[in-house]
Amino acid sequence: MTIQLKNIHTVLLLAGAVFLSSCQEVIELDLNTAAQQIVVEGGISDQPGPDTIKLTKTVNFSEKNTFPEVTGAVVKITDNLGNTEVLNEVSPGKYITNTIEGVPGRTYTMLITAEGKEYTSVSTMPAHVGLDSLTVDAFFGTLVVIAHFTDPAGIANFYSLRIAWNDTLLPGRDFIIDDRLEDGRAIEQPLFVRDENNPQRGLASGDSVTVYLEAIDENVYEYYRTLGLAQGGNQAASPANPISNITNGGLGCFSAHTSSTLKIIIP
Amino acid sequence: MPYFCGCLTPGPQFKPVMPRHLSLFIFLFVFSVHSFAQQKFTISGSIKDAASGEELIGAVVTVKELPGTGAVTNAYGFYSLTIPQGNYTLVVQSIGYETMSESLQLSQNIKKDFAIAVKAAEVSEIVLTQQRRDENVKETQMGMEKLRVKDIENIPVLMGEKDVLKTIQLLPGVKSAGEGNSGFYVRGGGADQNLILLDEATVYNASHLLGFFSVFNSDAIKDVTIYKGSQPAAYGGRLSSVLDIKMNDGNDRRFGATGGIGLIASRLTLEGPIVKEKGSFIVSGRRTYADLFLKASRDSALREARLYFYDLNAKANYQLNEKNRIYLSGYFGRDVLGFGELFGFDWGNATGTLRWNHLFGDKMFSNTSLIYSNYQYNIGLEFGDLSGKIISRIENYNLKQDFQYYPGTKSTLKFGFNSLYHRIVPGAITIDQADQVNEIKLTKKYAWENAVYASHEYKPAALLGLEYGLRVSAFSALGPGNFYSYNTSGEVIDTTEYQSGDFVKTYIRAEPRLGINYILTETSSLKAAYTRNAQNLHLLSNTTSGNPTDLWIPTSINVKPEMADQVSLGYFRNFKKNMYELSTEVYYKDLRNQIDYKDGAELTFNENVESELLYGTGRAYGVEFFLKKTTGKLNGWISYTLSRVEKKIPGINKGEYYPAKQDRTHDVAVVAIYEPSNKWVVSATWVYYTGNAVTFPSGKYEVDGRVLNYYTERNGYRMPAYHRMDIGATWYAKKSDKFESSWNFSVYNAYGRKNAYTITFREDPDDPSRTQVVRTTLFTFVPSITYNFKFK
Repeated sequence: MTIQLKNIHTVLLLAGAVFLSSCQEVIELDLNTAAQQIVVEGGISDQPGPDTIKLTKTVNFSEKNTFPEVTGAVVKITDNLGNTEVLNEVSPGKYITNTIEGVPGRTYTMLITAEGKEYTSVSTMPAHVGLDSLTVDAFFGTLVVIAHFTDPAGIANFYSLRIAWNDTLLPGRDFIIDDRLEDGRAIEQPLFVRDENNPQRGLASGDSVTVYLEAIDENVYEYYRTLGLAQGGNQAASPANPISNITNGGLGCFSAHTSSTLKIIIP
Repeated sequence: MPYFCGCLTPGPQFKPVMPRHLSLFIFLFVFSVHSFAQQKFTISGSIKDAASGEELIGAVVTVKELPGTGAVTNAYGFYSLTIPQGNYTLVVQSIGYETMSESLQLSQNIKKDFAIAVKAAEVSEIVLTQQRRDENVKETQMGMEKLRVKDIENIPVLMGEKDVLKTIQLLPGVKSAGEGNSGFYVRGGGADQNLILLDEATVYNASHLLGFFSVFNSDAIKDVTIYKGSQPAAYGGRLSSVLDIKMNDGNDRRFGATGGIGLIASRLTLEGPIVKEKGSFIVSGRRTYADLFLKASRDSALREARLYFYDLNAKANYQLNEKNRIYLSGYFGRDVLGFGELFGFDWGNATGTLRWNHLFGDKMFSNTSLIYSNYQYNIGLEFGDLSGKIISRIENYNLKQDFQYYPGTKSTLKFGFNSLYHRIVPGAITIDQADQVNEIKLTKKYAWENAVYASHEYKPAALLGLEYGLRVSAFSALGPGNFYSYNTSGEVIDTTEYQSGDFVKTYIRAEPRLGINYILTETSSLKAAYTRNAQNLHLLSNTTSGNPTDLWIPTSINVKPEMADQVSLGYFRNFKKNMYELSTEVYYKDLRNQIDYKDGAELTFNENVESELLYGTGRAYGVEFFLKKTTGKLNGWISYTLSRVEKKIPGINKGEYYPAKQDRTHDVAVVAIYEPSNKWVVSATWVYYTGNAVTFPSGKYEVDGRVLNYYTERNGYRMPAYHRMDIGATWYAKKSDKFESSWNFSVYNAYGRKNAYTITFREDPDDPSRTQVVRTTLFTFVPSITYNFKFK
């Protein structure tokens, strides 16, 4: 059970909307332009590779959602044992690992040299936590997949869960957990799934759901948490960019994590 | 704690804090004490409403034979006037009341109570009170406005729920916190920088239901005063303003019932004598009933929903004898939101005030108050086999002693002390099945806040008025509990454990207050004021409209007292026999130890919430114009404020000044009330203001398949300008000695302006290759109807 106080405002707004009329309209707004900034996505996992680092750039808000790739960059990953590798750019902006391995407990440093600027990022791979099982339950007639796993006791653990619905990976990082409330316990995390473009469409019999449980380090958790704050709440008085572990103004995040996968077909 | 309340010269503890002003301070005190060593006598007593026996606050007694000599009743209706022996005619006045005069021979100290009658054509004199017609020119106090509940009756508001907090937003320098919101900002201060008092008890969260309604049921309220500039020394603890709300005392002559049925809420008030003309009581309640409609819904899920709020006010008073009177008053209110067994959320305030008025002779008035305030929220959750509760609470116990001494007509001395004990439960999560989920209990916070004050209102010459004073506050963070020190990246570097009763840290602050009034002509004056304020409770809120779960934190080893120095200058002018009043004030505020949040700050359930804060300075300045027409069939006012408030906080916006979220350049309000006959009053208000400073994205990027906003600076954009007109009409259907009834009709946002409540950014649902900007509008054209009645 995760209790998210920040959602209460949303609940209140919804409740208020029961008898307050509100309307939404698309408007034109003249927004400033911003100098382009590099965006890092990817990391290294304890599963067989290759692992991918994707480099793109920001665009102005009014432009199309076409994000230019950063090509010709030098992306180097080094672990704390001295193993090092320069990643290979296999397609524009996509850099993959070949030899370096993801091992729990090791600290990975990524150095990027792109367009004359250097960016570094450090992430430590936590201990592997595996999914025990997936079950299906119903809340108010809505089908929900519940992920079961066991939190290691006595240490602070952080998790991100991602879902592929009928083999399509859902965007975003909506399910993140810290173990403050559940240290050392059997965790049951319900995963609500709905189609963003068609909110009526939830899980149905015959659907497949693949759950990826990632154990992440605290900085990566902090990135995902502040990402939710910045993007989710339209009530936030001062939204800000999520707290990234990339230096020099780089956006996005570099994550050394473990991964565990299970798949279930909704009965 | 060395209080000096009993003596008239300040003790040596003032020396270290204000050496330069000390000699002046003593001189004026001593001077005032000697100024009545002549053959003079005192007339004292109370001024009441003849029909209800309610004490009148701010009623004026003047002496016909001694122009410019008079006394004003205090918060308990008491006045004291000391003049030379002789034959006089006393004139008693209060706005909305018949003027009463009485001749008397003064050859000894006498007690004289007055009961004055409400003017027959009362409605034509609605609008802001102003005791003596030219008080705004003659009084030293500036940056202050008074409202009586009668005054707000005809001003149209959202859903017809008349609301003092929404009416004060129409005054210059006071800004609305947003669409339909009862929250307010004063002269650039944040919402938590307003001290909101209900019968002296702090109200920590004055709003219901996301701020659309305030907790103040206007049927229970007698008088509202807002100090936005030079707060008298008797008040302290907040930087921007004091909103002092006093509850009705109840009719001590006969029983009565007042009530109203509105679109969203109904009200009922009962009042009457306990012992005729000796004591009275009043009980007032209000409740919304939107949830009753939900019960009628066909949707079983909606039927299980709970959504309502209520307020209960109660007060009783009893006069023990001529010299002693006691009052007991209280407030209890809750918002309740829930969904079957699954989710329950309630929050609200509770206050209680026990007061004892005592007269020492004819010239010294004393009030002793014992006050309790509480704000809390409770969340109950049930999830599968698990159920649990989240609670949070702030409360204080307050002993307050105030003396008012009236040595002569030129001087009034006020002094006293205040001792507050604060206890804050920042949050606790308890789980019924504790074996399955861990519980969290954040460290409770304790503090003791003390203050002594003295002020002297003094007229050294006919054209000059002075009011100067000093408040010294001491705030101590107390144990038990862990206190943390943090490094610049917010990590705990030191933890110290304190035991119960340990003083962790004490901050002593001297807060001088000074006001000067120079009368230029019979109808105009110049005023100047300087005020320093300290604030030791801070509200952490990172949402635009505030949230019931916002957390109050006390000053600690990391959080220093917020400080503000304000200088203001004003020109006051009345025209056409005081029919028009014009005031202009300019102010500049220097703010220190201001709080803002790190990017992505976690403010909820965080033991180390102080590590998420950043501290810096700020400045607020502006000019306010206020023109009102106080009499005639058409009355009302126009107010305009031009202002700016900026913060400078290392870690935000590269350490450069940036506009605070409540910064607005222009703010205009027009209020017009027209009374074509005794049966009808029609009214209209129009407001316009520049949009708040806000953070919008300048770019975007993609991670994990989602398009994200890219922000480049804090508060670098503006919401669109806001404007709105509301219209209202009141029809007085019946009016007799026994019964009155009226109908009130209003339309909020009469021309349907689509004001932005929020502006959000999202992927275009029809074209995923594009993003779009969405404006959410809450209220366009909201009509309402309210029926009000009164059995007398």
